[in-house]
Amino acid sequence: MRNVAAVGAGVFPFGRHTDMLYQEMGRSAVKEAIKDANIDNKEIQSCYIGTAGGAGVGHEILKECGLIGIPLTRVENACNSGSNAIRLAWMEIALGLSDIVLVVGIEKMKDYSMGIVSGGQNRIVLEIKAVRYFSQIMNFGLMGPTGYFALAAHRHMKEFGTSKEDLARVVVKSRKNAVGNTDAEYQKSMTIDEVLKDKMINPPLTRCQCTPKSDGAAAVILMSEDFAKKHTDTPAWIKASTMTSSYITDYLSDLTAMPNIKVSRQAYKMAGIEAKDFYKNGFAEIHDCFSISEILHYEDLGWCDKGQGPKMLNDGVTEMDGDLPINPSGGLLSCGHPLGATGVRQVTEVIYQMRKDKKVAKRQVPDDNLNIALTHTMGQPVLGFTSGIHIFSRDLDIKLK
Amino acid sequence: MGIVMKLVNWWLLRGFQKKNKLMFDEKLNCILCNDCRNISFPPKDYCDKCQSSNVSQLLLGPIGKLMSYTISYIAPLVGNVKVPYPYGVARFFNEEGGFIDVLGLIDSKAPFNDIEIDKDIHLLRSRMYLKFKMEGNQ
Repeated sequence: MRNVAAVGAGVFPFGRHTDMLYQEMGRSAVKEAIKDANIDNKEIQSCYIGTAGGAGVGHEILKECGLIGIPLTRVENACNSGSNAIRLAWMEIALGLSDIVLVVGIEKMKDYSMGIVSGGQNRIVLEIKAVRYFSQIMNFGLMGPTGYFALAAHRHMKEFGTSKEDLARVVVKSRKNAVGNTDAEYQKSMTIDEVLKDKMINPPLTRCQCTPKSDGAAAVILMSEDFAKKHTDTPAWIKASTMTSSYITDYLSDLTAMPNIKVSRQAYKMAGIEAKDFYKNGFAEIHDCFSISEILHYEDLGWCDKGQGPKMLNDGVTEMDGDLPINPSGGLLSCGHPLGATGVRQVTEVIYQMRKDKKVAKRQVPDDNLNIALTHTMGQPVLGFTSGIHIFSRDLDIKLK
Repeated sequence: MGIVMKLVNWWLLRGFQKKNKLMFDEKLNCILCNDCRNISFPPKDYCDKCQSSNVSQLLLGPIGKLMSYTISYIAPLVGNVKVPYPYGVARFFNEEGGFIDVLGLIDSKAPFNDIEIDKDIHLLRSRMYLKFKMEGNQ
């Protein structure tokens, strides 16, 4: 397989953009990515668009960007749509089918029900489906995604003594990192008290412990090795791309383990590294859709033992000046979560950080931690989980301290 | 509840009960795979895990263990469920130590102080959503 690099990045700020069309948001991100990659429109050979609810919007965006005529593939996998689009683009280049591929992630969620976004079905249809197939453990009906993670949080608290304050501290860290991130929906810092006193959604999760539904878009240009070397001195090389699927009932039997253990080990093996190598060498953008999920991911991704997630957080390991900075952008909790855009936005953060772009000057990861990076998204497309991981390296061959 | 939702619920239950018999009295109607010993719920004619058709009926409950719970302040559109309502995951064991985890409503009154993780729960007769009560509660 050929080497592939992420070269250009563009983001349309996440937030409330009810007055904007998909193509307006998408065009802005795509144009920025093309300019950032230092290429001409005509050099792009293929496009993947990750969007859970935006049926047909890819064509509108390509038309607005003067790109009509190239192969266009829409990827829908709920929260994992953007990450899956990156993976497919990576595969296309790695297999030698194209040299320059555009990936767009986009979603409009503020004015839409989750049902419409999740695969274009309305809520009543999803609930009927749930009851008929005894899938009460699904997005709608008895339990939504928040409910599932609330169950996980209560179980983690019971088994490992995790406190409400530990959960709140995830949000405090997230908001602290997002201060000055103009692409984030929430940019103000919060205290533990403020987090705990926010409106209760599903105990123990308060509102700000749940990622907001956002509008937003992100775009990334991937290139083969030859082209990347021609266009930039600071590519982010993709060293691993893995994905898994699972059925949600599998995880009722262990509420504190998400489907990330297997997929992360596959990614580490593919990149030729171990989980511990991220300490003092790397940083990560992980799927902190809820406060508890960030803690669970620390454990499932192998960065600490089971039950030690809160300690890792409280010890400051995952702070910007810690051994393994997590979510320097503010993650989903602060940036927001336009489903299809999230996985792509995470990659833009890796590109900006690795090249020390002025855009991330206020949240720049220390130089020592720029050798490797990991992006992780986890989707819950109605009845199952899907999880995707990418590992990036600043050098073509991973160099660790 | 509007007439439309009543009709939807009637139609759901009719189709649902025709397809799956979820409970016998206060027991869960599960299947046990005779090849890999996996327990599946709701019942079907193959094992979820190994796809074997060599399965037999297994009734579990009514006593189980509450693994976790939370409270919802938003009602589902189907089923006559009033907010706020607690729900949780309950674990039911068989004699071999195998188990199945299922989600259901918890029969409790606000402020829900009687709900405790790792305590025994009792499966109640129910039709659409499974329902538990904390063991010892009347």
